[in-house]
Amino acid sequence: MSVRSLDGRWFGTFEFAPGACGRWQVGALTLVVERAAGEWRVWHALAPADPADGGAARFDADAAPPRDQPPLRYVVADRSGALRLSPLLPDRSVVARPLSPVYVPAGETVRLYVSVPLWLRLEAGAQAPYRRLLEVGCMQLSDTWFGPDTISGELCYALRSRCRLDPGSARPPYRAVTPLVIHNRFRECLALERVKVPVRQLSLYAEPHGQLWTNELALERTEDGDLAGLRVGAAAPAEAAAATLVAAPRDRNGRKGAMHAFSALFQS
Amino acid sequence: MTPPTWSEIQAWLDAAPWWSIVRALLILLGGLIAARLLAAAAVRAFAQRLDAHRVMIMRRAVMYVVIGLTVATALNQLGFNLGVLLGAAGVASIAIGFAAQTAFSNLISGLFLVGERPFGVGDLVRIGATTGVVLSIDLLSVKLRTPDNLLVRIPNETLLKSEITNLSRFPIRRIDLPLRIAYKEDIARVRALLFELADANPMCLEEPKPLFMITGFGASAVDLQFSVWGRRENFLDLKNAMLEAIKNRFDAEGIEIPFPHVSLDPGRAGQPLAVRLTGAPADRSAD
Repeated sequence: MSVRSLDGRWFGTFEFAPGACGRWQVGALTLVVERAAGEWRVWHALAPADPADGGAARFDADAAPPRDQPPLRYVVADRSGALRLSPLLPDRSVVARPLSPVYVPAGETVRLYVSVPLWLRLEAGAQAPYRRLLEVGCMQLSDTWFGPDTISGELCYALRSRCRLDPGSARPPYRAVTPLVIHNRFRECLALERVKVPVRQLSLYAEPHGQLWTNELALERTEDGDLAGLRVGAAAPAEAAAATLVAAPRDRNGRKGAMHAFSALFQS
Repeated sequence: MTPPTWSEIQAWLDAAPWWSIVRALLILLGGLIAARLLAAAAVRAFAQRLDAHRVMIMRRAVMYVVIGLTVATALNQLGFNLGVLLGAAGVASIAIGFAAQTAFSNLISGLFLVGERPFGVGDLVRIGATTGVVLSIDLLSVKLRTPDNLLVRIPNETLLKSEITNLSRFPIRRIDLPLRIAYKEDIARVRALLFELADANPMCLEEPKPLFMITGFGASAVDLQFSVWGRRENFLDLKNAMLEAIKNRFDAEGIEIPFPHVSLDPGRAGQPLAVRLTGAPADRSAD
C-alpha cells in the first residue's frame, strides 16, 4: 500500500493504492492524504512560522495518517486512485515590503527578484474534468490593504521580501520567483517601500530541476515622475528559458485590469 | 356622482354584446401575461447594471404600468367612459390620500432612500439601536434580521430621519480595543508588546498600521486604546483573538490590568487614618 508519483517530482499526478497514505511537507504546510473506499481523507496544518529559506518540499509515499485528528472527507465516484497536486500562485495580490529600504537611483535600470509563496490545489480523478478537493497555502500570510485610502484599494497578502538582485540565490521550492525590471527615468531616486505583485494575472512555470517562476514584470517611471504602463512578460522569464507552464493565470481575462492595478505598483 | 342602480347594471349587461365581454377578458389575460413577460425582461436587462433593490422597483413599475393600461383598455372595450372613471379615481385618490398620509409619507421616503442608496439588500446596518442584515427594502418599510434572528420592520419615514450606519460598505474596518494598565507599568514596553501581538496575528492588516493611543489618566489606571484593522468578515474573530492574546500576554509578562479601586488619604503624609466608632459592638456571648 503506497503512493506512486507519475511525474517523478513532489507535485503532479500521484497514484494511490487502496488504503495508501501520502504526506507532503511544503514550506510551513503539512498535507496528508489517504485513499479510502469511495473517499479521500485529507489532513492539513500550517506551522506558525515560515521555515528558514532553503527548506525542501518533501513527499513521503508511505505515511501514517494522523488518527488523533478528524480528517476532511471528500466523497467521490471516481475509483481510479489518481490524485493531482498542483502548485499555483496565491488567490490575492501579494504586497512585498523590502526588509530594508531599497532605492533605485535616477536614470537607473535594475532587475530585482521577489519570491512569492505557493498555494497547492488537490484534485481527484484520472482525467478531466478533475474534481477539486481543496486549495491551501504553503505559508500563513497576513492580510494587508493596498490603496490610496481605506475606501478604495484592494485586499492583498503581506510579505516581507529581500528584493534580491541575484537570480542564482537559493530559493525554497515552495516559492515562485517573479523578476521585476524597474526603469527609473525620473531625476530623483525611486523608493521601493511596497511592491504589489498581481499574482492572479501571472502564470506559473517550472524548470526541470523544480525551480518555479512567474512572468517577468517591467515598470517604467517616466521623466515626469509618473508611472508608465506595465509590461507583463508573455512567457517564462529569460532566467528560466527551459521552464514549462505549470499553472495558467487565475484571471485569464485580467491582463487589462492588471495594467490599471499597476499604476499603483509602488506606494510611498 | 351616484352609484349605478341594479336595474341600470342589468340594462347595461343586456345591451353589451357577449363578444365584447370575451374580448375584454382576452385583453385582461393577454395584458397579465405581457406584464409578467415584460417585467421579467426588465429584470434580465437591468440585473447586471442595477442593484437588487432597484431591479425590484423596476420590475414592479413595469408590471403595474402594463396592468393599468390593460385594465383601462378592457374597461374601454366594455363601453366604460374612461374620462368619467379617471375623474372618479381622482376624487377617490384625494379621499384615500387623506386617510393614508403615513403610507404615502413612507412611500415618498422610500423613493428618496432608493435615490440616496445608503445601503442595499444584504448589508449589515445599524439604525438607531437596531443592528441587523437588510432582508428587503420595500416601498413602505425596510426589514432587518437581527443577530438573534428577529425580524425588525422599520418604516421608511423613520429611516429618513434616523442616523444609519452601514457596517459593511467598505471591505476593511478598524477595531478599537480599549485597555487599562496600572500606573506602575512601562508604557513603552506595553506599546511594543501590543504591536508585536498585532504583527503575529494574520487577520490583522499590516496596512493600515495599528494605532496606539494614551486616552487619559483614569482614577485607577492609565487608559489606552489600541486599534487594529481587519477585513470586515473577520471583525468578531479578530477582536476576540486580539483581546485573548493581550490578556494572555499581559498575564505572562506580569503587566497588571487594574480593577477600579479607591485610595483613602488621611490628609497629611505619615498620619494614620482616623477611625471613629459610633456604636458599641453587639455582645455575641449570648449566641
